[in-house]
Amino acid sequence: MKSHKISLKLYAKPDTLPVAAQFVAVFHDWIKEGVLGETLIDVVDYGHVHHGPAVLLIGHESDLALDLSEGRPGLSYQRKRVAKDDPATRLGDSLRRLLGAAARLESDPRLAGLGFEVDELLLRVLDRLHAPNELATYESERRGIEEALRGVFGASAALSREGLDPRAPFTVRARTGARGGARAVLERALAS
Amino acid sequence: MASWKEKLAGATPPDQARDIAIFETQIALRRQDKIEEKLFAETRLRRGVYGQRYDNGERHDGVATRPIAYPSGELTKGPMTLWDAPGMQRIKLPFGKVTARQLEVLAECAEEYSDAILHVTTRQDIQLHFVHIDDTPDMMRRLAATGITTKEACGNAVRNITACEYAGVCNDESFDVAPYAHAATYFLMGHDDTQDFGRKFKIAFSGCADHPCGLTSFHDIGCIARVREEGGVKRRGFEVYVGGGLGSVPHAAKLLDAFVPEVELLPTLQAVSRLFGRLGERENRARARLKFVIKKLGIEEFTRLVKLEREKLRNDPRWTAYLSDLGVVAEAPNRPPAPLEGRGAPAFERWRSTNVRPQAQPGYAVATVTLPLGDLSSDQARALADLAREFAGDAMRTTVEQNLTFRWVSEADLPQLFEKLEAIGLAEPGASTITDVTSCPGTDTCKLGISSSRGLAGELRRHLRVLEDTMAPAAKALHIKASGCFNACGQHHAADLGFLGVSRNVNGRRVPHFQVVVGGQWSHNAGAYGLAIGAIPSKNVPEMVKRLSDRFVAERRGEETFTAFVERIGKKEIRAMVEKLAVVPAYEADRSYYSDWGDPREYSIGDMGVGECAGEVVPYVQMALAAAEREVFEAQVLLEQGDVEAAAGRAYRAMLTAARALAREREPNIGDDADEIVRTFQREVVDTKLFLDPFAGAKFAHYLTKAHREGGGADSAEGAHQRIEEAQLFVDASHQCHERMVKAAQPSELARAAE
Ligand code: SF4
Repeated sequence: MKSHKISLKLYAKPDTLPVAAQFVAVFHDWIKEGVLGETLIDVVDYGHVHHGPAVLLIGHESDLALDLSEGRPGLSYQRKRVAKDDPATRLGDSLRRLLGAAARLESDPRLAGLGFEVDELLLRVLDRLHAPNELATYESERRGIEEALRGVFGASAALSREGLDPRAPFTVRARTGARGGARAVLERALAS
Repeated sequence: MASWKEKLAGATPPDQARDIAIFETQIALRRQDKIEEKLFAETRLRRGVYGQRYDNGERHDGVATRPIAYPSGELTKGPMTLWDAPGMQRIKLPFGKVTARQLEVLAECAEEYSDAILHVTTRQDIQLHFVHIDDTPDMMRRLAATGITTKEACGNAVRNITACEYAGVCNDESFDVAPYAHAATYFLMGHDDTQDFGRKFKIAFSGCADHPCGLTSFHDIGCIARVREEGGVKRRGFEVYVGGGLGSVPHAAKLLDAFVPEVELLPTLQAVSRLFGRLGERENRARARLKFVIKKLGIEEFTRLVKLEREKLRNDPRWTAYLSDLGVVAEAPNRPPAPLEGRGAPAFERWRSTNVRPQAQPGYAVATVTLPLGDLSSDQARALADLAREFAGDAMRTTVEQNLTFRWVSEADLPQLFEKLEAIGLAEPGASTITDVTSCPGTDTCKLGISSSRGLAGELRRHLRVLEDTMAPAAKALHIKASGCFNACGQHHAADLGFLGVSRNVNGRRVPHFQVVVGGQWSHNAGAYGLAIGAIPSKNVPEMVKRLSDRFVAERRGEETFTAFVERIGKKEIRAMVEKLAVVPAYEADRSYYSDWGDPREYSIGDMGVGECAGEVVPYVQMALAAAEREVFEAQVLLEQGDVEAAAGRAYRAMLTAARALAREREPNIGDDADEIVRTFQREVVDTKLFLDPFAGAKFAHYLTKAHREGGGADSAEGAHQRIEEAQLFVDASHQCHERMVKAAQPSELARAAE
């Protein structure tokens, strides 16, 4: 992946989402406990914005969000700054971080019942300079995306380009074919 | 494409491209510790790059204050402001005008550099939060390519010039003030006479005196459109007020001149600016606004000084040039005018009753898009851009109530527009009513925030929307505004019900509170300011609003306004209501009082930092000398790149910049022409012996005259190298000279005037 500005979204299973205020409390605790191993800064509540990033955990390298965009709640991981990784591994690393955060949320008693669909993933690149929303970007990034997904989810994923509006970020939807919860996928990925 | 700089090279206005390149150089220099942090702070503030909460590297997590491990370590971008800490980018939208393309690029920038949220401020700007300073030059380029600037959006400068959002389409206006606000914006931006302020400077325009859209009474300069008939000819002009301001000590602006003809508008603004630069306080930041100068001198004396200053100004063709092109901000509808026949669905009619206002032009209306807390997402911004193109002839304005208006909507299209707004969650009714609570950022992102004004505003919106259907019209019409601290960015003094964040100690624990402010008036350009009656815990504010609005409805006499009602029943009565809600339950009984709205951490004021609203007082001459130093550095880089001619030219330019800065201290009317700079410098600084070095005498001054005589260029790398060395010595000597000038300075004019 040429750009480091990767955004990944896992969707919540239908009817498993607790109220947004619970995420505010959980994210505040994550800062207090330093659980993610990166510099975390603050929590922002945008619950009043329709289909917006309802609750954001702001970090230095990346942000996490309870993401209500598209009208489909989910968890987003967004990498903002160049990390110490290289272009070949940054997507895989981002995927593992997303899954790690999702697994942590699934096991938090305050969010009881919350679960994520691991067979579907939305990937966006928030970098119109290096990844304009056009076919050429898809063609040049496709293999790298497939490889990273295989490395984490095990099986070959089916990709499709989404949202052809040239103003929108470059977006790909993936059907990963994975089963189980976020933790199971993550553990498999780490073991392999 | 390797960079935005290359990609947008042809699309960015040259002046802006140069200014952004300068800023990028300054960022590089600061990274190498070659610019002092205070100077750098003012430099970035003047480009809208602002600090944000937690940028000192500490955060209270509800238990204790802990460090935030920003990877940049000790590197700072201002006093106690760490480099890697995210900040806020303020983006100017003069008089709130924004096009569809601009909104799209703002959405892109929010997505790529911020948190995908655009925030409309109470002064018609857009703010993006959590932006890294390293991203700001590219962001500025992308904005500049669509005609947006961030220049002087913060810092000690003329801030965004605001105006009524209905300007040009309003039934009540004397004339359209937008072209004048536009002219004033670009005339004063970067103007010599606006570079020496001790604090920020705010200007607003209003099309009439009666309505609140322009809010001229709390601005440093407020201009209200007036038409005067002289000899059968109608002449345009402005009733000009000065010295208004909110903050901890609100002042209503005072009348400077009942009629400033349009040809005199810009020179009057310039004269007031120059006076403020010269007479304004510098040491005590709390008293550095124009209102304190006027308080000290009296409005009569200040008016006399303005007139005197006006006479001294050097003629500038820009004062009147714009008058031949007042159509510069003209808009054109893209749909034919057509009335809306019959009534629509109840939801539409509800929205229409509060969010639609007929224009002066028959068949057209202004539709207000209510933005909750002034926020919209990047996705919504793109959708709004489409709708603006489809329905509004691409004519939008942000409002001081943190909303967005669509202008030139054919009335017949309103139901369709409503439907499409509904689809993106932006068809909320109640614009400019009790549910449309406005607020400053407060503790969410502001370093000075004491209580969560946004949290409170969000809670009040939720609470009042539930009650709205059963509310009497008089209660619905009330305005509520909240500020996170006494600086009053939420404009709470001018609301029917204002709230101002404070903290109280209850049995050894901090509890977030709000002062209840009543008696303010939103109408008549914010014609009266409210007073704080007493503080109640944040968690009791919704109940206070309910009790007060219920009582107003129950006891209101005829068409009595809320301000008149408060005056009639007396502040004592209201104080008694406040006292009933001032009690804080014990911590063990109800812990919710000990956290703020929307923030589960136990409340603390430990996160408050040093605000940047006041900017850093860096005099013009010091900024200019720093610019000269930067030009010397740029000359070195050019020489390294092998561009001999440009390197020598830039070094010569550096000397001119420094010479002009020094000469301007004695001759404020100095222009930009090189001959004039060298001549004035010689007369005012060299011949007066101010520039003479105790050891080298006039040697350094000769470097400038020699370079000027030779036309600035050089014919060899050696020649360019020598010119750069001379420029460096000249700039160093200029610093010494400036120190001597400061030492020799007489008592300030203000002190003399006060005597
Ligand atoms: S009023 Fe206070 S808290 Fe609100 S933005 Fe201004 S300085 Fe910050």
